[in-house]
Amino acid sequence: MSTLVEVRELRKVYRTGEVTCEALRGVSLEIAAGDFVAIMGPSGSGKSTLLHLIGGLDRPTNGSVRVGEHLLSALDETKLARFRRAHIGFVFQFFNLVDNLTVQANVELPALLAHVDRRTARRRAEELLSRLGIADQARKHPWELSGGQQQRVAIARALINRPLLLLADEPTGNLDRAAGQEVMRILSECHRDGQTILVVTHDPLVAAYAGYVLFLQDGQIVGRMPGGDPSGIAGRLAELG
Amino acid sequence: MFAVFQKIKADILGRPVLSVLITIALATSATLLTLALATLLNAGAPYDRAFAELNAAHVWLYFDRELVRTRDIARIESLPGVVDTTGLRHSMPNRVELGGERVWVSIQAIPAQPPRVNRLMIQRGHYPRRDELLASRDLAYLYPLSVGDVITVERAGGRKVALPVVGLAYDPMWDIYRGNQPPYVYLTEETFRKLFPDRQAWGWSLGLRLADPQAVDEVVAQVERMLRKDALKSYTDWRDVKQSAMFEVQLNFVFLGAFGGFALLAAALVIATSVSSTVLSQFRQIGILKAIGFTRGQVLGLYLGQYLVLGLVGGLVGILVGILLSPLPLQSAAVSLSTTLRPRIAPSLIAPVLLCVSGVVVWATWRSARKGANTNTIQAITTGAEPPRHRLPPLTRFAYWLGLPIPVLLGINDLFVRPMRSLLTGVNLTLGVMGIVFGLTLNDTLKAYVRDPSLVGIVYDAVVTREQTSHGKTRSLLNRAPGVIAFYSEHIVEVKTGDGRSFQVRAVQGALDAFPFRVEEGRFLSTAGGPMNEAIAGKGLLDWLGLRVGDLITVTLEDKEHRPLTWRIVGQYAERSNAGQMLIAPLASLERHLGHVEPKVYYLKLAPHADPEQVRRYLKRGSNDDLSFSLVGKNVPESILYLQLAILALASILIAVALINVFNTSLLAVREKTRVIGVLKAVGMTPWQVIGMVNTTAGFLGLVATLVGSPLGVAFTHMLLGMLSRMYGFGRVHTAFNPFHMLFLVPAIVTISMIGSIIPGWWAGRLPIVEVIRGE
Repeated sequence: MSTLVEVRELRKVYRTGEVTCEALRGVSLEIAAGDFVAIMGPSGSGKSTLLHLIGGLDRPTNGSVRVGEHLLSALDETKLARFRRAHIGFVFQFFNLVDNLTVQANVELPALLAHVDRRTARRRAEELLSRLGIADQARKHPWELSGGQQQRVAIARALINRPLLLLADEPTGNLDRAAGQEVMRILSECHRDGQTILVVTHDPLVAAYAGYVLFLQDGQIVGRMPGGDPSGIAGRLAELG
Repeated sequence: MFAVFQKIKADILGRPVLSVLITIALATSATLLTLALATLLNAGAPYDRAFAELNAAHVWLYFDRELVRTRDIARIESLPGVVDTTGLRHSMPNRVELGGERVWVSIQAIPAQPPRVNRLMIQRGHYPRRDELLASRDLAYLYPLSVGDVITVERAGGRKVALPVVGLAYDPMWDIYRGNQPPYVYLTEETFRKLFPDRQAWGWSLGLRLADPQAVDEVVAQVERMLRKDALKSYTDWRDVKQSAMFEVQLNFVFLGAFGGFALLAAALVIATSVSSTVLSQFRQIGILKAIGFTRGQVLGLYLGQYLVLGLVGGLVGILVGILLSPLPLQSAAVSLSTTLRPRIAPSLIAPVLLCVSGVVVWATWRSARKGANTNTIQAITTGAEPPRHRLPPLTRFAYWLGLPIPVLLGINDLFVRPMRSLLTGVNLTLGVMGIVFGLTLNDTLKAYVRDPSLVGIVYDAVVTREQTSHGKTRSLLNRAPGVIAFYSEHIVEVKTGDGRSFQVRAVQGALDAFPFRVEEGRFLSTAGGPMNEAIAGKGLLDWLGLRVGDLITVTLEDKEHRPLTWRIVGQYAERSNAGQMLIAPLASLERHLGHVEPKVYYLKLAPHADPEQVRRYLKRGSNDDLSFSLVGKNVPESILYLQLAILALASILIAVALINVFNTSLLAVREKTRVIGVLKAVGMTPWQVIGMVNTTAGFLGLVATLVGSPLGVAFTHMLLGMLSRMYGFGRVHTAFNPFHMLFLVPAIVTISMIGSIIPGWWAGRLPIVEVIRGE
């Protein structure tokens, strides 16, 4: 498989007044197209920061991120926005849907921003909603749905532009166990269809869905193990404290 | 209590930009209100000052020469309440030549040295000496005239004497509002006697200074009782002259007051928008404050206190600026009276403005502050204040259906997230639009009046007056004159009602049908052999006498009091003179009482392409040199142009206040929806699309404000001009507004609104996504 994501010596330092915090300390990794990767680590280990830098939501202090042919540090704000809308799909812990738009409109939003014609956007949205089992909710508003349904809408929104990479930050963190499993089942199906996925999670049950798991501690990758075994993953996580 | 003060201080300093902008908005309205009040309270000050400096007479009496003796004058001068007099003054109505025109003036004899009472204000040149002439300022205004020019005075018997104009003067008792009063020229008594030796032809008048300036009516009544009947022909009351002099200043007050009110309302809208958004953004904080012991009253006081502090600061700054600028609205009056003026600023001026501003601040703050104070503590701490959830409004659905770009769609949708806030901002912009439309409508209305003077009662193109040439010959000349389509003649008659109120009647004869008289109510006179006892009246006359169209009016003519004359008022027309207190009646109806009358004034209707110079030459050829010909002026007076500029400046102030509100609203909206903006950016919205989204909200408000504000502005102008017109007895106003203005007004206001949201939009476009998402 070809390399889709190439991260080299990534450093990120946050400054708040005179206080500095080094969230990432020279992280390097590669993700192949079609991989399902989970990133785990204790709070403050830099997991979300790594996800944000790979998704082009933030800029590194040092190092580089390449996604496909795109070297993110070479892109200005506008090109970065276009890159995100075309190649990255985001799923957040708190769903982050636009409350005053319908489910259908929320899903269509990135496609319309990318100037996909309205009919195509609608067709794609309907297909995705149908595939995720919420076609009957299309005309409702996010606040009329359950948490699991809202997260499925978020996944549909993330997939509408057929992204190279789907990034999920604690996608089940705000859901009950059943809803969480349903969301992970959907992500697994997407992976089976060829979607490259990077998930940040605290939950070994979630990480177990991934092909392999990367462990982060104090801003550095400190280990790697295959997915599939929740108890093994939990044990390794416990070792990291 | 100290904690509340601490929090008030922290909140004001924590939002420096908003605090400064709100203070500016309040200061602006306080400035305009201060200016309006200073103008109102000092409207008469320039005249009062000039009156005092010139020791002017409080009443000027004009006598019938044949019914008064010098001993009567002495008796009047010694009446109780009369403290000083001008002494008997002589005058002579006469023709003079200036700049090729023959002009009717009143030649006044004045003492060789400036008198003690009713001195003249020499505005240019010097007091006249022997064989020199001083012209009144109003004569110089009507006919281009300056010091050094020559005026030729016609003496009895037709001999002419050329006298140099050595000065221009203002007479504090010459009433510009008396339409029949000719302009004055002044000669020394010696020169006057030399030029007009026939004493029987002199007019007599006397100016009195009174111990009680308000006792004019009592003194006049005493004089009338003392003299023979009708010996006192008329009199000028200093209060009427002052009223005329105050006209322009009063106009300034009306406009400043209207705009001051608008600006205060606009500031209230800024505050209402700001405080509601602040309370919402601090919802969680309010919960925490209440949890740690703040009472409801203290929370209420917190918000009222914040805005009252801004109101007091803004109010005081505004009053100070208003005081500094207060000479401006009075300047034209002061300059025209050659006096300087520093308006009197009393506590009675400052207190109402400060109270007004503070009252409006409390009113605008109260609702939202109370809402904050009544917040449920637990709910506030746990949920904060999320924007209300609602379905897509129809307008957004329509925009979606139209396929508008997504930033535009979301921008329109944002209008409905906080509809009250959008409404307040929209109303604010609407006020600004109304101000601009007010200025434009005033301009268009003036242009319409200049294009069609019949709207202001000037139904003719030119006026001809005669002196020696006979009535018959003049008519014959006018009938044959090239370019003259029609004419009618006029003879002015002074009449008196049963209760002693006198006014003038325009007795007319000729081709009246050819003239576009504006009959606002009822109909015009029957011209083709109709009844003789019909008349039409000015609105001012109807209001003054309490009459309506259809009523009968009975009057008597001078010397004919035993034979009353009755007309039926069949219509109301636009009368520009004497505050509309005039009547038009057929000359024939008066001739039955006066005998044969030969008018001396003729009003002409010219052919569209007639050459006025050709008409003038035709009329004045040969021995008809005494005929004067003058065209109707079509220039907008300078004072009106100045007023238009002032109105546009005031409208700009309103727009600036509206811009503050747009900025305020956009900023608060952006702050409230940072999470949504972060998400939109995460899913691919570019910074420019974010700016476009924020600008769309503001631009759409500007569009709606223009579409709503334009007709409202026209209606407001119509109402205000109508009110002024009624005040001055003119009648109906024909307001004009060129709809093509909308072609530039719509894009201009939309652009201005978008400018107001550029900084918040730019700020939103640069929001760091990660910080926003982490903030959740």
